[in-house]
Amino acid sequence: MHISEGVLSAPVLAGGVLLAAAGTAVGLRRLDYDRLMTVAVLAAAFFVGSLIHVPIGPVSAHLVLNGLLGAILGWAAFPAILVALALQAVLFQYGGLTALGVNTFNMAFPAVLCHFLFRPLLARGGRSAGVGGFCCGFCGVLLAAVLTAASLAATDEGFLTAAKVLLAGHIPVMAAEGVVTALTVGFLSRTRPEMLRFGRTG
Amino acid sequence: MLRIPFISCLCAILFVLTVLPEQARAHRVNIFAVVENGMVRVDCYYSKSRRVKDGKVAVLDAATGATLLSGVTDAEGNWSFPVPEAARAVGHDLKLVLEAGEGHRAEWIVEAKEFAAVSTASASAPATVKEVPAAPSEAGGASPSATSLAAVPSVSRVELEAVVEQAVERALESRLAPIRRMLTEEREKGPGLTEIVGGVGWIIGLFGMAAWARSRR
Repeated sequence: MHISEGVLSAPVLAGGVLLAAAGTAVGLRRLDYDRLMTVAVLAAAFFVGSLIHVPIGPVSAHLVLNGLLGAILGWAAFPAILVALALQAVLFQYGGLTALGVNTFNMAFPAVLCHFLFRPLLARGGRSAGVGGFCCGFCGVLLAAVLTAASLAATDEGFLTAAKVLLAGHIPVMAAEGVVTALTVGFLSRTRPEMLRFGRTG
Repeated sequence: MLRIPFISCLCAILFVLTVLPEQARAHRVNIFAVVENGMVRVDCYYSKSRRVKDGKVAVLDAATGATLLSGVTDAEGNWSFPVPEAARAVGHDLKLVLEAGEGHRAEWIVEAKEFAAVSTASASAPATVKEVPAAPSEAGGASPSATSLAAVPSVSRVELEAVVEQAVERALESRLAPIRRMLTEEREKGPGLTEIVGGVGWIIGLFGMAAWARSRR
């Protein structure tokens, strides 16, 4: 999911930077500063999540956790994911620094989208919250894979090939993310429902 | 504030996650190449256990950017090719670019001096040959095999040089193999605990700074 240095053309990179900057700006403006520590801890979880590999069959892909960030943070997922990805690029060499904008948008936009799509389910609490959490985790990765493939559409790999490989490789991850997100969100909605704060715009 | 249990719970998860990655595998692609007997051996991998199968490798002239060769890795992530004469003649470095798909890309530079040594050795062979036989014939007096050498003067200098070269090559290879393996293992290691804990520290620090800046308003 992390696109490396030198793969994408300049217009795609620039577009990614613009979109990521816009998302981050919205995220920062809407950020409730009392929740800053939650954002930090989730950014750290995202940062470390990429080291957890799900080996199923011959493929193994790492957790992404963008669905979880989306479910809890909403727009604030943008700055959280940006910081985490920047550190992954610098410390682990996962993804290129020039591709940071594209990578941020590819992972953070699905997070925000899932937040608004599944908010009604999450807000209902109980079992619905669990289902909503699963959907967030599952669709977060699914959409991120589709967006990554779309970013690669202009390269000689092409959209369809990239999409096929990425989606096939990430099916186990989608399931794993769904379960992780469902458990986390379910736990939160029972113990700290106000953490999910669906009354506000997030 | 009930937020404390939630955060400490997440911190506990984070701690467990940081302990786990010892066996976790990096998700970036790596390329590594060595020159052996005029062949460049390319090794492509995501990690020690995951090789890059069917990865596209392009060989470029590092100075001009012209593509000289391209190939595809096998199931073991290996591919080898002879040093292109074009690059050897002008003494340019080779740039190997691996495209493993899904946006994974890596580069490796084979410096001109790595393969130039091989070519100069063979080019200057006639000149050095004169000195090469001197050493074996001196040592020859002591060793029994040398008597056979002396008895068979038909062993040409070129042949002798080839034998010596091969022997040196073999000896060096066996001596260097563990070191090369160590180097490869070092490169194949994923992110260590230092990087992970450092990164988490950075995140806490950055958000801490944001909170501090906010609190001063």
